[in-house]
Amino acid sequence: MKPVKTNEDKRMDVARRYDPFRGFFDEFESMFEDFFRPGLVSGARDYPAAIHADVGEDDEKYMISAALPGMDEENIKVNVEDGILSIQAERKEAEKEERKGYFRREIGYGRYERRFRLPDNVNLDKVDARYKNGILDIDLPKKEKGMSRKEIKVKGA
Amino acid sequence: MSLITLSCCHPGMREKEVQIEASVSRTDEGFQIRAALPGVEKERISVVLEKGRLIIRASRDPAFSPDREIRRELAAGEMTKEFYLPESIDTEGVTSRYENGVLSVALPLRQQAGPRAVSIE
Repeated sequence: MKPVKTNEDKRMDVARRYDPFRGFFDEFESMFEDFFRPGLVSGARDYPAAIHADVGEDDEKYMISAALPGMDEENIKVNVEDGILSIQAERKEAEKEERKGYFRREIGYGRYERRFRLPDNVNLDKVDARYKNGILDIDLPKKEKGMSRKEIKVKGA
Repeated sequence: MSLITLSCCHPGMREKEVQIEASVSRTDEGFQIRAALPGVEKERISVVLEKGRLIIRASRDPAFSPDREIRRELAAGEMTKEFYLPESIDTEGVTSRYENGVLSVALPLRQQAGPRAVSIE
């Protein structure tokens, strides 16, 4: 059964439709799409929920701003492997809250994950991540021009 | 025990405003609301108690200007969430704090007299 689309879903649809960079920064999204249900989580999930993010670019770098409200920074992991940047995070729940019970729950807990396929010109040695106000900001500096181009001299035998 | 109920789509709600995601839980002292406001500066959040309602408002600019934007999924602009409060809330004692992108509002219950035996005359 396909649930009614929330405003969040619709916003994401729009973001996708006009996304000229489709291919980069969203390669792995679809596999999580059906898992993300804001407002539904009534208990622990055994799969990671998606992380929403804004992605931007200027001359020097790409930038990802991922929403991770209410996390501790030690529970956030950022990895790059085979050109895929992955963000993994976990929101723990205070014991006290669990015992007393919820009337309404729109902030879930458990594991969260998002992967982005990175463009080739990212300088992986200089990737930087900061967590503030519930946002994980990742800076992905671009390689300097020329670094990705190199003429190879052909040697004689 | 009366519950905190949540107003949803009540008449007059401005369509442009994004609904803030929030959880409501029971605590030893009363109730707690936790509202997700990632990326919002504390100065741009307001919590107002008015006529038996608690209104949370916040605003946030998009992370990137349109000429720098590749994808946008996070809420930006005006955001709101409104709760009808039960009579049993001690409105004078309501406190709130903002940490790591989450606004917590503590809503203590009024101190009530414990159970007591009524004398029979």
